[in-house]
Amino acid sequence: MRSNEQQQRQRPIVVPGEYVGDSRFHIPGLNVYRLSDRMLATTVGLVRTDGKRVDVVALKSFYQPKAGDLVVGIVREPGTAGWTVDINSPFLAFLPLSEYPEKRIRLTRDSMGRVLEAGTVLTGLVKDASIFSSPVLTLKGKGLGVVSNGFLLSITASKVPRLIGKKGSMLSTIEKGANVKLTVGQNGRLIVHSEDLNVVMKVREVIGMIEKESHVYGLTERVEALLTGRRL
Amino acid sequence: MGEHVVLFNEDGSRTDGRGLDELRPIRIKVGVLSNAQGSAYIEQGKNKILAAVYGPKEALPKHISLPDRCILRCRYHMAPFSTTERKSPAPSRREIELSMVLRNALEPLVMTSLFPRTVIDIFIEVLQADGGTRCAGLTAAVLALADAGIPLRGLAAACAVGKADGKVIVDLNDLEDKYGEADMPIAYNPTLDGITLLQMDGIMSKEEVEQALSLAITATQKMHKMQVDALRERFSVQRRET
Repeated sequence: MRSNEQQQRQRPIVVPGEYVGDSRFHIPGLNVYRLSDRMLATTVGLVRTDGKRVDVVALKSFYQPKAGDLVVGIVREPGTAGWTVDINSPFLAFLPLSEYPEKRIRLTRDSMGRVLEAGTVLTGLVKDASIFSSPVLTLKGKGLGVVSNGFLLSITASKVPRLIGKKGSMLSTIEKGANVKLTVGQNGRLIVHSEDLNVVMKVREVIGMIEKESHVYGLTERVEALLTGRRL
Repeated sequence: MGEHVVLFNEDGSRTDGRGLDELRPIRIKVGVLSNAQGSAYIEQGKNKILAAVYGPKEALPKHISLPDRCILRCRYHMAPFSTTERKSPAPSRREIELSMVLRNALEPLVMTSLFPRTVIDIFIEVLQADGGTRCAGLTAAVLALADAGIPLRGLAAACAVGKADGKVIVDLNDLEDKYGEADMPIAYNPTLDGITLLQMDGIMSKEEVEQALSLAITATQKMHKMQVDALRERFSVQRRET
């Protein structure tokens, strides 16, 4: 009985090509396109509107970098003037030598590889991003740099806002409930700063729940219940 | 003298018991491969087909990339065990042609200008074939693209119509495809009210083609509804009774 009730309290899902509004009265927003007077969804997602603009929040999407995004990247290859970094987007990002915090690095392929070798995990900021060129990263900033311990988990990039919550409420709930510090990248990767496997597994379970149920009402309560072991 | 193959029963139904405009039983599941960005599996009659989508990702080597849009690469392949006689795993001329045809059919649906310099790889693998595999493969590939979160103008479904023993029929099986008089695969997008794949093999009169087109649109609209249900099921929460 409870499962039917909760099923009904899911927000309705739209699919590509589905009608979401009339363009004579609304403005097409995210993941919405206009076809004469009709506004249609381009991805599977949930409709969100403020009365004027209509968006479709995608339930699954790939990460498209924007300037100012905090990302968790994995170094792919050292180059001569920087490093290519996998940031879980269609394009490999580039971390130029000038954006690496330490100075006095000799510009040879070997020395670049010794500073940041392939497979190194780091947190960086997207300095510049356009669809016509590779995103550029920087490690200059507070809290940015190589991640030396912890566990790397991932979530669909479009669910990151849900993971963080309004003014960080969901993230704070998870950190308090699991007693752990998390670094969440906008690219859907996050670092769990803990060596305790039980904590990591708990956080992974929470992320799985957010991934599957982000569009169901009452998610924050269920996450709290999962973390505290309380029954709803 | 070739032997005459019976394509209809005495009561007028087709050899598998279907009516002239009836589809084969269809089962669709979206999100079946965890390695792929998007995937779908379809069973249509005895056809069993997997579709997987990887991307969008950086187009390498760089010279194949386009500066203003994404490239689609499509591979249609029949597994060696998919047919009654073993099929060579090497791509046949038919598979190369169908790969191109399916890519051309999928391209108008994808908003390729949103991610320039990238490539999307689409794989359609036929595990068991019984006629109409390109249509079932396209139906699954569209769902795999939607499952990957790639922006689409709409969903398209495909179905083959044709003629057997002078009668226009829908969703030909292998026997009807081989021994019938005409076979016309069609992919239709209800959102844009447009046909994105149309091929013809055989002989039909103008009136028969019009009738076949009309039947195909009705059939693909039914399939479109199944696609929508499959996508909603994929993203809905399944709860167990506590």
